[in-house]
Amino acid sequence: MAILVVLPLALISVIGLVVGDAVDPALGIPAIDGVAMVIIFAFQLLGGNYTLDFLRSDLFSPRKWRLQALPYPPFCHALSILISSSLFSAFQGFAMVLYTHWVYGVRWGSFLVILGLLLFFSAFNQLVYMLIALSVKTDKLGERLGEVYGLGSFALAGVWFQLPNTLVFNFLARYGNPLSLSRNVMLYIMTGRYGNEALYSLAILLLATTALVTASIYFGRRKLA
Amino acid sequence: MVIARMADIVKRYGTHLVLDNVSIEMGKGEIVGLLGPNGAGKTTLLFALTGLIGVDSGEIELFGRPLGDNTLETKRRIGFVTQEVSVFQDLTARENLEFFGGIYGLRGPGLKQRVQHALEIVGLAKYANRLPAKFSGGMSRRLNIACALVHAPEFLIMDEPTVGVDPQSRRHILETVRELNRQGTTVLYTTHYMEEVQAIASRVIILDQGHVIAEGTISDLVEQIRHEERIRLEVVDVTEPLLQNLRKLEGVKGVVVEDRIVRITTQVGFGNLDRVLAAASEAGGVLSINAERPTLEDVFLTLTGKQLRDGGEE
Repeated sequence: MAILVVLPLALISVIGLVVGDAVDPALGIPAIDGVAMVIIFAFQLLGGNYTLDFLRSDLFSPRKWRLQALPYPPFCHALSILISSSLFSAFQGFAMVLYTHWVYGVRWGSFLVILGLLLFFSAFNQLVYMLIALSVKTDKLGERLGEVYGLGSFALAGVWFQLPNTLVFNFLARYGNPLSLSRNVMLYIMTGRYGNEALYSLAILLLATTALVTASIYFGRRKLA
Repeated sequence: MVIARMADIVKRYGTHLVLDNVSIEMGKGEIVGLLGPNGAGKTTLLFALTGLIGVDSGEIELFGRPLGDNTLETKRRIGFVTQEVSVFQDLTARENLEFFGGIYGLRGPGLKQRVQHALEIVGLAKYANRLPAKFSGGMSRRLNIACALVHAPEFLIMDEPTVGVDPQSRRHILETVRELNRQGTTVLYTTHYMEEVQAIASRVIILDQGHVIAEGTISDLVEQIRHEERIRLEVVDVTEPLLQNLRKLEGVKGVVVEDRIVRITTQVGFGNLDRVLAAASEAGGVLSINAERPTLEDVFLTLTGKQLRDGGEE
């Protein structure tokens, strides 16, 4: 739990020292702002592990019999895990937003809008991990798939290295992963520019959320009935 | 009043027949011991009875209603102690009970009172604010039981609640079951430990390979296999005339000598104790004599052909 706060803040601090007062030439914002935004949202991708852990340990372990014997439908328990984890992860991210604003002077724009986006993005990620929890047979496989989702998104968003300059990779880097989609929306909130990209990204995230909810209901009925 | 009834239950896992036309009935206020070796189908029977798994055929009724009618209301009246310790390790004992009590609809002072009562019943009141991770195996098991009885269920189902616990905790658990029963709770108790059933059960059901092979009070079951009885005789000196006298007695099937102890196996119904005592007194000094009655263990062995704690995995 702590690693999802300590590690991103450590990364922001170290990279912040390196970039100093530099301005990102492509985006026209201070480099530290871009770094803080990408790292905080990147770690939101891994926040879905809360849902994965609690779902697997409560409803896919021997404990499930005790919970299923309660006068309380298992889907209610799954939903409560999803909501609590979404809130917890979002507020964890928001704490880092406030910290980077006060300590590093990152200009986030409206805090209320940032909190809203964090809540939405956190819920999106919890849904992804819920789907993983509902569709795998072993906890290990669930964890591996979660890592593939998180680290795969980092890679596609070009966090570690630049992707080849081709049409497909350019599209994937801009709209083909949740981290880039949230970054596009964030850039609009922070700068007031890139409105079209933000709109498309929000639309894609909403469509994907609808698909995730539908798939979760389908698998949930099969696995938790 | 019948609390639970299962009639002609058949349950298969794939091609494996786990419950084969099982029929049982439990009356209000009973403690029924469900005995069976590993793989007999005990846990499957409990899961079927509580609606946690479906059955292939047969009828199940709880509190006079078919299972499936208002399942949530039925579940409210049941407490289920699972074989695995199913408590939340990151909540204290009290918080665990508050969580489970809350789901059963308890709120406010009523919840607090029930939580305290449950903690006292299982002897964990002093440890209410500790995390289960700091508990011994026996304490965890007791907390597991408390979670199932915090809402004062009418019907408590316990699936091997004493596996792996120390003798002190086991005694406490058995006393808890007796106390709950005195307060009116009906209990269905599965175990591997014959002595537990003998200590608490008013009636026993023996399950083997998916069949109910015997059912009744312990004395009824013992009666079923009382073809013979064993007499233990302790004498000052074991002499040949003594042994000859004993062997000549009608119904005596065998005489075995171990130092000054003579074990005599006889058929029942011959007034054996008196006749053995008379024959032994003629031949010399008798120090003690007592009849050894068949136990539930003997019943189980006779009916199933195996010890209770052997067999495959369930």
